[in-house]
Amino acid sequence: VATLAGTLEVLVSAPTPFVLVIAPLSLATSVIGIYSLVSTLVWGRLAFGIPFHVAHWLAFVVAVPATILGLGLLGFAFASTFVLYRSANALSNMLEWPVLLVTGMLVPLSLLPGWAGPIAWLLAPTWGVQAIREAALGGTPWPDIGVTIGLGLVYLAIGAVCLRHFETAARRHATLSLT
Amino acid sequence: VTGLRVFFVGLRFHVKALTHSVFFLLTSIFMPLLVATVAYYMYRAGNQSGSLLYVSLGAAVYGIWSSTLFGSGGAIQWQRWQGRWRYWSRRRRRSSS
Repeated sequence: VATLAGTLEVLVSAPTPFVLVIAPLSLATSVIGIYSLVSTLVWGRLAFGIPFHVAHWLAFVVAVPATILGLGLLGFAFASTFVLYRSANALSNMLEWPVLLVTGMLVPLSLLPGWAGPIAWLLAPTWGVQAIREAALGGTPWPDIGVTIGLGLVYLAIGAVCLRHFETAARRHATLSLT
Repeated sequence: VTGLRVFFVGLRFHVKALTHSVFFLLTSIFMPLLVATVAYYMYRAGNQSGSLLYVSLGAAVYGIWSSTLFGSGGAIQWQRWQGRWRYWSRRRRRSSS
């Protein structure tokens, strides 16, 4: 049908940018993180009796998807580099705990050494967790939400550039199917 | 507009696909619960009961981070194993030639 209609060439030559293929996948894994978010809060409530009071519901409802977006796009930036090397996904295992520590998810940033601060500021999870905490416990979450989304867009740009570059490099060296 | 549509259709598809994977869901839930439990006991040992919601929210975000990293780490590999990688690559090659 496409051949008869003369649209086949157009369909074939209208490429879907690769960023639109990989970014949703990375973001989808972050969306699945909602399961762990809910289960963690429920577990805290049931097993440890932690009350769940939210000071600013609107900010909380905005902060959670903003954090998911920021983290998902950070994951996309990582995923874009994995095009080049087959074993690069092993890096993801290596990055889990350092980012957990340096972004203040469990340990307050004030307890970490001074050099950890600038690293934390560049990572969206730092601002995302801060936004969620300030929305729940009281504070000013909106600037943190803004920084989380802004950093996410920066990651998207970095990831798109890396993806294009690494894909071209992998093709040039004929290693695309080997990577 | 088409790009956004592709993006959101892809997002919906992948979320559906991932929620059908019991293994992925268990991984997403089990590890954060483990980390949260350790963190709760540590904070309780430190007599900081007022901070329990603080650490609970941190552990919850860790859950998002954990599943993100697991997913993004395997993003390319999964597509390769499922046989989709070569089609995407071929399509891009045609378009650039």
